[in-house]
Parts: sequence; structure tokens; C-alpha cells
Amino acid sequence: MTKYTRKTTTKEIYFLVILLLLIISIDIAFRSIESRVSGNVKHIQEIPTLISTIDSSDSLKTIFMGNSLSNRAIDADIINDVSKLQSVKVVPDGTSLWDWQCIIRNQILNKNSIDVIVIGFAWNQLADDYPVNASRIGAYFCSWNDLWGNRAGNGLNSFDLAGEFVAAKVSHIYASREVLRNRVLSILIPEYESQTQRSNRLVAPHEVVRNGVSNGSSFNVLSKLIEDLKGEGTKVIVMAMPVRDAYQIDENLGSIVRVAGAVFLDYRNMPELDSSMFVDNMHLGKNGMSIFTRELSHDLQRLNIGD
Amino acid sequence: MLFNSFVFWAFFAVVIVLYWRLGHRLQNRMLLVASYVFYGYWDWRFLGLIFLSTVVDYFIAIHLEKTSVKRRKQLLLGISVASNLGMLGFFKYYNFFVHEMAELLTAIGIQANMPTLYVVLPVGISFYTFQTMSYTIDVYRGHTKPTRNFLDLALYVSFFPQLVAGPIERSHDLMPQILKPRYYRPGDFSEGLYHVLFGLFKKVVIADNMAPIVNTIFSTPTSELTGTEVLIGVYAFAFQIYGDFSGYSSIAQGVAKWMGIDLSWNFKMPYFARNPSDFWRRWHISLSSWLRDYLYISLGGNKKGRLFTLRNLMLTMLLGGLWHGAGWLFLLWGFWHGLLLIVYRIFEGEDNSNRSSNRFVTLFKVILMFNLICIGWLFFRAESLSQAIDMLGLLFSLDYSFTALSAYSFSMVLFFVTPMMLYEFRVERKKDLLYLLSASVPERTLIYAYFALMLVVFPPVSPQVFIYFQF
Repeated sequence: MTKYTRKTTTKEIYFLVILLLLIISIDIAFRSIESRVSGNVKHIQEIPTLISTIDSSDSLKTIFMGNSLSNRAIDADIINDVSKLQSVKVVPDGTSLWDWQCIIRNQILNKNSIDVIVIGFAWNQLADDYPVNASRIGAYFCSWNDLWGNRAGNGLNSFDLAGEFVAAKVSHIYASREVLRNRVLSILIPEYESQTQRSNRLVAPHEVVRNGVSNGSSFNVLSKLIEDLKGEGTKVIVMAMPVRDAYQIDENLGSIVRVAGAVFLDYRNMPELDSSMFVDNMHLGKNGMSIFTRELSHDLQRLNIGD
Repeated sequence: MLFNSFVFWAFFAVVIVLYWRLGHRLQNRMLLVASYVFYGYWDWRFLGLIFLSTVVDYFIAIHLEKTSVKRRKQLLLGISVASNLGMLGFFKYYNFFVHEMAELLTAIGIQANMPTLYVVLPVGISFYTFQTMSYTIDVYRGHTKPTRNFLDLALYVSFFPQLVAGPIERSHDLMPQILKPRYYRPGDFSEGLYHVLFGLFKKVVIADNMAPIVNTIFSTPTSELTGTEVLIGVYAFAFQIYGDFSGYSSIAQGVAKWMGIDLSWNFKMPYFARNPSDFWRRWHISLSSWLRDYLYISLGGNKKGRLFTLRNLMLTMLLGGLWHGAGWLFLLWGFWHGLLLIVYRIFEGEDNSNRSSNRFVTLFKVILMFNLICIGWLFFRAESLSQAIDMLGLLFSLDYSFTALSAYSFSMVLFFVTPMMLYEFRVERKKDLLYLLSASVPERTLIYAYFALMLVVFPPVSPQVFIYFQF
């Protein structure tokens, strides 16, 4: 058995310092390469530059905010050409209102003057009860103030979510664990992706329906965000994005958005988009993107946004 | 409040800061409050059960000491055992027995309207009931002095690190540590850190990553499975339940260590066991030694001849199986282990532990034992008796084709389990459970960094509740 002396205590401290330094070094090294590991992280890191670039423009400054649905549906170049806007896309993968709120509050409100923000969503991604990804908002979008100041307002309504937020803020390896895990295991484990999907379908069918919508959700966070943006003179447009199979949204959402002072556009059932224009069950392909973007441009012109 | 949740560690941070700022008496009071808060966080409605169990055993223990009349002593002990087992029986077995009785009566042509109740199983009831019972039995046997301080006994019953999933501590081990002042001992921090880190690794990285594989295989209709898939599914479950339960025990040990309290080792590399007796000296040690001391020995142990010994072994294992839950499969699991103990005892004799010095013979014995244990796990994990039988049939069908599911599952088991088993093999060879604490700094740093990084990068997609909480 181990015997403890003063010498072993010193050795223990020495060991802990080395261990801590090693783990910190690995995390720092990872931070320096994470944009190369993940295109999504690269995009996230570019967001401040993107926003400041349009802020210096003389044209109508527009941000298209959303997730991969908006990314694969909107061609900013076409919009800029057709509507003569200066627009950028802020569309990190898998994000929802919790992420967009933090981006807007920390990088736009009181910092950059933006004329129009167009938020693209699907299902219940704007509802107050939509699950927050505490790791992602902690590592990339929210600040420490968002944790201490308005924890519940940022969806961190449990101690575990707050803990996850802190852990992700401290360690980007932790924040990127899903990406790293999938990268490593898809290399080492045969049939990793297909079998994981099979396992999810078999074992946790309730997980698959997390996007299901029940009427009666509250949208207080969205309403407050729209009011704050309006207060800064920013016009807000909220649009329901098309996916391959039609989906439901809360029946009150449209009126809640309008009452808050924003415009609500519904693209869930565009007759011009058939299922062949989707590359999977959610995302548009090139053709679909072009058709959607032109439709959006016309609607923006109808709303007197751009030429 | 799971050990692998942030809320537990926030709770523990508050507890430990307060703990080392208080004197001995206040430490105990604060720990008692913390333990009740910890348990109440699961379900405050069942706090009354722990309290009731404590009150009954407090008074009975005091009266046991006062009386010297054997019959009165037996009566008091009987009241204690009946009240504890009564509570356990009601919450854990009532519906099972009512259902089975109704089935039996229907089978013989009697229509029975048996009253069924929706009984919620209080978390950890089997653990704290056994721990409380050990106190009164030890007082009855004169192995422990009853405590006059009710609050100290209440802490012994509810001490939060081991309250909901053990180890089941014995009064002569834990009670003196509660009664005496505790001081910070050099080495406690590093031992605690080792237990916590390795425990979290086993729970989060091993058990929770095996869970989706096990769940997939056990929720696939047996007709769609091959022998290879069943075999890998059972192996995965063997590591899942080991990681889950030993991980919990290890974290409990570490957390208690940081408070200067030594909890017993509940697992000692069980999958390196060479025979069933060896396995039970390494697996859930606190339960197996409880059953040995309070049941097997009470039944006569091995003192009444060979046949009685074998009967006692079987009865002990059957009750051990039933301890895990009300179900025929748990009983079957107990029966299987009873059978293994009997067969090995017949063929290898009583002293059947670790005699072989031949490396290959030892290796063969370890592999054989592991596979025999896995057959037991099949009964333990199966959703129904028919599934267990069908899966057993597949195992012996020699349909060992390699499918996409088996390739995936096998690789996942290899990726997660191999490093842990290699590490445990090294511990086994060193014959020192804490050898890593005295290993060189580079070796220790590398192993700890591996545990820590795996914990950070490879937690499961959806965290799992500890399996043994249901017992």
C-alpha cells in the first residue's frame, strides 16, 4: 500500500500542476486548430468580422440569421444583386433562438447598426421551451454576463445547464465534444454513422420528435428580442423555412411576431419547391436555393427592403 | 442528483467547504442535513422511510443492549428485521407477489381480484435497509455498541455518498468513523481524486457508451439477431453494468475520502476472477459479504455438512438475486450463480481460489469464468424470460456471422473497454489497488490525462441514470 510522507505531498502537488498544465495546453492547442477541424466553428469565428464588414457599408445593411436551413436556402449574392442590399449570412449549424439571441445581444445591439435582421427558423426553434445547447452558447455566443445576469432569459434554467455553459466556456474541447467524437469514431468504427442513427431510432424515438410542436408555447424571449431590436431602429423579419416534409408551427406564433412589431413570412409550403430540390429531408440543393432566394428577394422588395 | 451531474458537484462544493470549517459535532449535523437534502432531491416523499427506519433501529438497538434475556433480544431483533424487511417487501415485492399469486390462482381455476397498487420504488431502499439491518444485527451479536446519539445513527443510515447505491457499509466500519473526530490526512486528496476520476471514467465513458449498444441489441427482435450480435450485446452489458456500478462505488469512495471517511472497496477487478467464489470476493463485495455474514452463516454456512453447505450457497444466491428486484429473471440470475458456486465447489473443492501457477491455465480459467458470468448477465438484462431463452439459443446456435451491427458494436466495445481492461490487468499484476498513486509522474500523468480527456470528449450523447438506483 502507498505510504504518505511530506515528500509524497510535494510530489502530489508537482503531479497535479503537470496534469493541469497538460490539459490546459491540449485545450489551447485545440483552440488554435478548431476552425480547421470544423467548418462550422470557422464560420462562428468569422461572425464578428462579417457583421463589422456590413456595418461599414452605405447600402441597406441586412443580416440573415439562422442555421443550416437558412444557409442552404439563401444565396446572399443573389439577394445583394436583386435587392441591392449589403447582406451577410450568420448561420451556424444547429442553432436556435437561444444562440441567435446571444449573437444579437453581444455582437449587434449597441455595437453595430444593422437595418434589417431576417431570422429563419423551423418547427419550434423560436419557443421559450426549445432545448438550449448550453455548450454551444457558452463556448461561442454568450458572455459570462449572460450567465450571471440573465440565466433564465438565456435558457439556462437548471444548474446542470449552467454547469455545462461554464465547462464549455472554459474548455473548447468540451464544447466541441460531439464534433470530435463523431470525427474520431467515424474513422475508427465501421458503420458508425448508420448504426448510430439506427440505435437512435430504435432506442430513443422520443428524441427524434424533439422538433414536434405543441400549441401554447410561450415566445417571450423572441418578443423581447424583437422589441429591443426595434428600439435600435432595426427591422425584424421572422420567416418559417421550407423543409422537405411539411411541418407545423405554433398557431399563435405569426400573431405574436406581428404584435411584437416584426414581419412574419411563411415559406413552409412553397409550391415551386418539390422534394427533388432537397438534398436530404431538410436542406435545399442548388436549384432550390436559387428558387427560394428569388422568392425571398421579391418579398423583401414588397416590404420596401432594398430596390 | 447524479454523481455525473454538475448539480451534484455544486452541491458537494458547498458541503466540503462547510465541512472542513466546522468542528466534529457540527460536521455530523451538517452532513446529516446534506444527506437528507441529497435524498430529498430525488424524492422528498421517501425521506420519511429513512427516518422511520432510523427511529425503529435506534430504539431497538438501545433496548438490545439493556436486556440480557435471550428471548427478549430475539424478539427485539425480530421486530427490527420485520419492520425493515416489511418496508422493503412492500415497496419492492408487493405487486410482484400479488401478480404472481393472481396468475397462480387463475391457473387453477380460481378468479381472484387481488388488490394491486401503484407503488413507486424509493431510490436505494435495498441499500439503506441492509445497512440499517446490519447495525441492529451487529448490536444483537455484540459486535457493535449502540449509539446513544440519534443524530449520529441517522447520519450512519443516510450518509449521502453511499446512500442510494452503496457500498453497504457495516456499523463496525462506518459508525466509529462518524463518532470520532476526523482530520485531514495526507494522501486523502490524491486517493479521493483517483477514485472520483476513475469512477467518473467508468460511469461516463464505459457504461454510458455501452448503453446504446446494449439497448439496441436487446430491443431488436431476437429473430433479427445473430449469435455474434447477442454475444457482443451481452459482453457490452457486462462492461456497462461493471462501469456503472463500480463507477458509482468508486465516486462514493472518493467523495467520502475527501471528508476523511473510508468506505469499503466494492469492486476489485471482478472480470479477472478465476472461479465463482473469487468473483464474489471481487464483485459487489459489500453485498456479498453482507449475505455471507448475515444469511449464509445464519443458515449454518459450511458447518453442517456438504449437502447443507450446497443448499446454503443456493439459498444465499437466490436471495441475492431477489435482492436486485422482484422478477423471475433476477431469481434465475441468482440461481445461475448458486449453481456455479455449487458446481465449482464439487469439482474444485472448498479452497478453490487461485491455486494455479500456470499462466495459460489461469488465462483459460479467467476467460471461462468471464463467459459464465456473461450468461448470468443475459438473464439479468433480458426484457423477458422468452427473450433470455431465445438469446441463449442464438449463443449456442453457432450462427456467428459478422454483420454491420456486430462490426460496429464490437469495435465500440474494443475502443472503449480495451484501455480500461489493460489498466486493470496492470493493477491486478501489481496486487495493489492504488498502485497508480505511487507510480512515476509521467505514467500517472498520462493515465489521468487519458481519463480526463476521454471524460471530456467521449461522454454519451444522452447521459444515463445509474442502473443500480433501481435496486
